[in-house]
Amino acid sequence: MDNGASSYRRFRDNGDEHGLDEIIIGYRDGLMLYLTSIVGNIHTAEELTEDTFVLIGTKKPKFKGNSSFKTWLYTIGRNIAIDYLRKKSRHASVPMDELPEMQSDEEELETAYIKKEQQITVHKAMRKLNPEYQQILWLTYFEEMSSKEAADVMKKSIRSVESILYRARKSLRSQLEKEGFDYEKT
Amino acid sequence: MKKHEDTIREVHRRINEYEAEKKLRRTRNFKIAAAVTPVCAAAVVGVGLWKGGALSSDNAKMSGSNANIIATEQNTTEVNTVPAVVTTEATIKQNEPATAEVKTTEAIPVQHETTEAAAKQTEPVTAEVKTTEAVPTQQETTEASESSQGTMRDMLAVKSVNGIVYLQFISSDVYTCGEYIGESSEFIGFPEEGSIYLSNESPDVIILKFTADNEVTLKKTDISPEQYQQEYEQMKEMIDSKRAAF
Repeated sequence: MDNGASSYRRFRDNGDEHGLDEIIIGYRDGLMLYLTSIVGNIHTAEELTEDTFVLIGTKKPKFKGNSSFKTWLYTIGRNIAIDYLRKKSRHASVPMDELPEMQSDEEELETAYIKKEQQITVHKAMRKLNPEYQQILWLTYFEEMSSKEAADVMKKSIRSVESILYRARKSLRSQLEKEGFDYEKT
Repeated sequence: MKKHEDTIREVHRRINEYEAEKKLRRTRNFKIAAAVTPVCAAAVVGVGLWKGGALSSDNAKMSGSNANIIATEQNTTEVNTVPAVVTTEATIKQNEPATAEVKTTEAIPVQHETTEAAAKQTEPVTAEVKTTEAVPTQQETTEASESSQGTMRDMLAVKSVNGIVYLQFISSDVYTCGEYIGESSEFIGFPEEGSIYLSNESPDVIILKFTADNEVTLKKTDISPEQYQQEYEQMKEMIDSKRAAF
């Protein structure tokens, strides 16, 4: 599979369902972890990730190639998550963040997606920062997006994203120090 | 948390569900459109006809009242049948060139056309037109008759003086009394009160004088008194029967 654009093109233009399957396999975990940084809940993020794939499977929006496929897909996912948060703010619900099974699911996903133990530790520290810092750190540190791509996904200017990223790193460093993270090893 | 396969299955299930719902919605919309379109078309046609005046109640009234128009005109004819006797008489004399006959002659087609209108009920428009023309003429005759007192009606019936039938006529010409013939009671069809004179201006014109200001001019006809009597009786009989019916 290339960057996902060709798979999506096969699905959209030729009706090849395997194209969509490839996209789901390639992007599901990363998108889910990114959406977790927005909604703060792995289960909700999973549903929203599913919603994202259903949306591109039903509405079949056109991918123009102005950005990478991942940026485009994450942007769609983010919009869905923002909609969800907007609706959720209207209908107050009981937070489920602290459920033990949710913690284990997130750890499982971290292990599967991030793989490196050191990065998993960083991700755990990230989860304690505010959502905006989590998002920018996830996109740039784990998804390896450029500032421009992160700015596209977050619908912000590059300067704004760089500023947020600077503060997010500072905050993450502080958090890691608090947890006794040994920088010498990295 | 779901596995990749579960997610894929779930995503495809939801996509298929969405497609099925979309198809169902399209089918339902098509059925609704198919049901509503003829109704809308009928409504449009109905409104079109209504606005065009085809369904207007005026049309129904018009078509339904045509017969009534004829009937009304028939009644009008019946009411004005007394002066119609005069017009019948005029028919007999219409070929005479006298200028004094002009107005009376106008009444001739009125009588006949009105009768035609009554007979031709299947042609209401033609009947209407003819009758409309006839009405004022008849009224004119009636007015002229009524202006000469009630005795005029009797006088208009049979007027035979020495074997010659005279007919009342209305003219702008002035006739003056000449030789005295006799009292009106002595002659057929004349009222009891009044005197009859020959006119100075024409030998064919006689004058029936009731008072100094009330006189009637009559003109000579070619028909015999018997013939005129017969026609008069027939006419009178018809008039009486119609008047009773009215």
